[in-house]
Order: sequence, then C-alpha cells, then structure tokens
Amino acid sequence: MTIVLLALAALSLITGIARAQAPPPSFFAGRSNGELRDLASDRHNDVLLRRSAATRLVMGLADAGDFEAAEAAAREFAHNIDPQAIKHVRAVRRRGHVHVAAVGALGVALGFLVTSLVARRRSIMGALPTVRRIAPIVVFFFGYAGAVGGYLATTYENGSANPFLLFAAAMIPFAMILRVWSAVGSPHLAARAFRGVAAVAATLAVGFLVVEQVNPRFLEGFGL
Amino acid sequence: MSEVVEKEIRPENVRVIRLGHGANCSSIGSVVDTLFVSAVVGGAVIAAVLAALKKEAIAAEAPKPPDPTEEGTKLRD
Repeated sequence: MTIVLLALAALSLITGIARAQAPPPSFFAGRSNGELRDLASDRHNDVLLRRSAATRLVMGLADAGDFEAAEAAAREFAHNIDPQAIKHVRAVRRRGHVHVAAVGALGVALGFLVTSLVARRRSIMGALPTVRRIAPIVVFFFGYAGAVGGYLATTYENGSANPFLLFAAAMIPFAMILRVWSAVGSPHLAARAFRGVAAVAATLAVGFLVVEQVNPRFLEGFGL
Repeated sequence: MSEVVEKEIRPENVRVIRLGHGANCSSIGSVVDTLFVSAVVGGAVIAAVLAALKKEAIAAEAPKPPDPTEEGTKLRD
C-alpha cells in the first residue's frame, strides 16, 4: 500500500498534477487568442492552467462568432478542455441561427403591417376609438407581466428586471398598432389568420431579441 | 477558533434527484427564465387575438321617424 502511494505521489509530481492550481479569472483578462493558445499548448504549464486557457480560447472564439476556429480549437485541445466549452460553442451557434430567424420574422411582420397601414391610412383615424377601448387591457396585462416578473427576477442573486420591463415597454405600443392593423385590414378569415400568425412570430422575435441583448443567461436553460 | 465540522454526503442521505431544467433548486432564480418565456407566450396570444379581431360594427343610431300619434294629437289641438 505504501509503495502504491509513493508511486502515485511521484507520478503526480512528474505530470505536474501536484502543482496544478486553477488561475483566477483576472489572470486571463485582456489576453489575446494567441496568448491563450500558447498557454494551452505549453507542456510546462500546469494542467489546470492549460485547461482553463483552452476553455477560454474556445469560448472566446465562439462568442466572437468564429465557430469554425472555435470547433477547430476544441478538437485541438480535446484531451484537456472543459466539456462546457464545447456545449457553449453549440449553444452560441444555435443562438445565432435563432437570431437570424427572429430578425427575419420581425422584419416580414413589420413589412406587412406597415404596407397595410400605409395602403389604408385614411381609415387609421377611424380605428383610434377601437384602440382606446382595448388599451386598458393591454396596459394591464403587459404592465402586470413586466412589473411582477421584473420584481421576481430582482429577488435572486444577480437578477435583473430589465428583460421583463423592456419586453413590456416594447409590447404595449406594438399591441395597440396590431389592433389598428386588424381594424383597418381585411376582415376575411385568411387575412385575419395571417395577421395572427405574423403577430405571434413578431412577439416571439421581440422576446428573444430583448433577452438576447439584455441577459443572455435566460437563454442558457433552453440550450441557446 | 471555531471548528468546521464537515459531513460526508452519502447515497442514503439523498432522497431524490430531479432531472431537467432548474432541477434540485428551489430558488426563484431557477425559474425566472421560464417565467419570462411564459410572459412572452402570453403576450403572443394577446397579440394574435388583437391582430385577428374583426372590424367593429359601426353603431350609429338612425333618426327616429316622427310619431304619427303625436302629430295627430297636435292637429286635434
């Protein structure tokens, strides 16, 4: 037993595991990708230092949008990297696809909305009483969601109410404009269904873009 | 100097392990993202309803025709 322990101790000293210590985050602050690559590649460095450097390199490349380089670096340092870094690359790539889809959906919906309102601009003033009638419901719903959700979000560690408040602030006028659209638009079933689908797509897009800009940590739980 | 007593957690000390999003955490922080998604989905439903509503019927009151009985009464007077 003693011999085994001595052998393990000698092995730890030889491989550097015995001296390994994860460096603090400030150690990596301001370092370029080249420096991180050198730290991760240098066999004389501690195993944890190399692991942290490789992880930061891969995550940094993914955050910068260079997914090919991030995946290449992940393969290069696959023997000593935090598995979370590889998951992070996939998540950021997926988030990029969803971002493009969200911007596209919002653009298409707003395009149809603006075109319809411009074509029937003479009827817009007549639709204002209709908007006035639904305004209290809209303000109450989004105000409630923004205020209560924002309050709950602030009650835990680094939580922020901003995603809830910004979503509510964006949706209140948007919902009013949607009602103007439905009031001046075609009453046919197909047109109403299209407006409904466009409204859903635009709202989901607004929610995603708000949370992506304000607090992307909300997206991590959904694999984005 | 106070002593820190470290207790080892053994399998028999664990009652249940939950799987999935925000598992094994009772903090509100673990469901705030789900809460936000709920708000967005609720907002999408409201937006869909508002966008799909019909035009409101114009409820204008037509002028009342003159009451012939009143006319007759006036004539008699």
